[in-house]
Amino acid sequence: MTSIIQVTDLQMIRGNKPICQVPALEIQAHHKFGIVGTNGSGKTTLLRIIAGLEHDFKGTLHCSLPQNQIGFVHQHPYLFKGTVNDNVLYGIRSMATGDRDTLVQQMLESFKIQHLTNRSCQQLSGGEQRRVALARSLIRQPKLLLLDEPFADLDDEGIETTCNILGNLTETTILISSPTTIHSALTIDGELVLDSIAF
Amino acid sequence: MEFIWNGIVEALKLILAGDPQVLDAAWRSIWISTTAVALAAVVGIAIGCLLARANFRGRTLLIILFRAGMGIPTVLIGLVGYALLSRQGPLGMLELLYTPVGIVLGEFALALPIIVSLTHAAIANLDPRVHETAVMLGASPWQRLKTYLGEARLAITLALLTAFARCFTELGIAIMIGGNIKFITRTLATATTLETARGNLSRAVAMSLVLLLMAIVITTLISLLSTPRSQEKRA
Repeated sequence: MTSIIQVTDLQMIRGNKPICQVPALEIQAHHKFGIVGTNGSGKTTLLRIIAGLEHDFKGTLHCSLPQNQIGFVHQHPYLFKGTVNDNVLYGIRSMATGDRDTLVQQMLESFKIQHLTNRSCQQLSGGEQRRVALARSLIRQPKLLLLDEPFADLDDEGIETTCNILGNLTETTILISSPTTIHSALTIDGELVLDSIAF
Repeated sequence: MEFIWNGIVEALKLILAGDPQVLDAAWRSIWISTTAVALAAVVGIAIGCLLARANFRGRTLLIILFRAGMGIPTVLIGLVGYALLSRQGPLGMLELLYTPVGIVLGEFALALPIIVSLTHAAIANLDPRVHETAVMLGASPWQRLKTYLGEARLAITLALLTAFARCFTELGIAIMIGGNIKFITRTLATATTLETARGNLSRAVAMSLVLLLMAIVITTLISLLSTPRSQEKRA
């Protein structure tokens, strides 16, 4: 098994305060990995660094994938103005129209939100927005998927559906951050516990 | 008060009768302002986006200069325009002084800082997740630009309307560069000034009523677009 992420002595400091400290981390390809920690422990920052959204850190990070093969879903996802359909097909606009429409419908059906296709994203509940954001990221079939607290706002059905979809992604490496142990419906291969950082 | 009332009555008669001078000035004001704002929009939105998203030397200075330009007096633009376009000026060979095209150029200079500054503010104040989400979804630089404009379209529309309102009602540029020539460069604002100076109050009121009507339409549009409810509907 090849490792796709290797982290050594990673530290990010903002305003003279460390906001993320990870002595060592190695993640194998196709694994599902949990990053658990309380608020302020640096979970989000670690995911953002791996996603390539933060550059001002110390230590080393080796990620064998380019940014266009990484999917990242924010803790509070941002949906662009427009419909659910507009958002989900955003990342696959270069595909042929017929193919991408079929793909969007399949993705919406797998998340059980096909009835929202033409709904304005501003009219969705928090849980529906999160499912749309996940569908939008997954439709691009990223090799590495970074999910920042993906189960927040989801009801039991939403959690079950999401866990089933993530569980079936055998070719994708998934990193999930969570303030508590990762939901039992999703089998994970490893877990990193981040301690809250004392200043 | 009676002469004002009489002026309004006479003005309404002129408008309803389709007075050629009133209609001519109104039509010219509309097309000159629309052309100037359209040209300034093409250049200004591009510069506004660049200032908001790119880092380069002198960027802060440019932002400050464009913001300062929002308050520039129209007579100053008119004076500079006159100096540039007059026969002895560096652009005199273009023979644009006392032409509608000359006024368009002057109003372009008036609209540009407004559109640049308000577009810059709109794009710079977008939620940072807009950029991050677009990047993580593999958007090309061109697709990202379209996304920023789409997310800020309401604020940019307001910028264009604000620039149009400023151009439509301005006087200094139209008088100094246009020269207020009847049926050639006369606009509603210059015609109102001239008719008032001549003591022809009814025609002056007619001109200002059309100006007022347009100002009300633009202000109503700005108000409708800037309410949170309309933002939701358009989202």
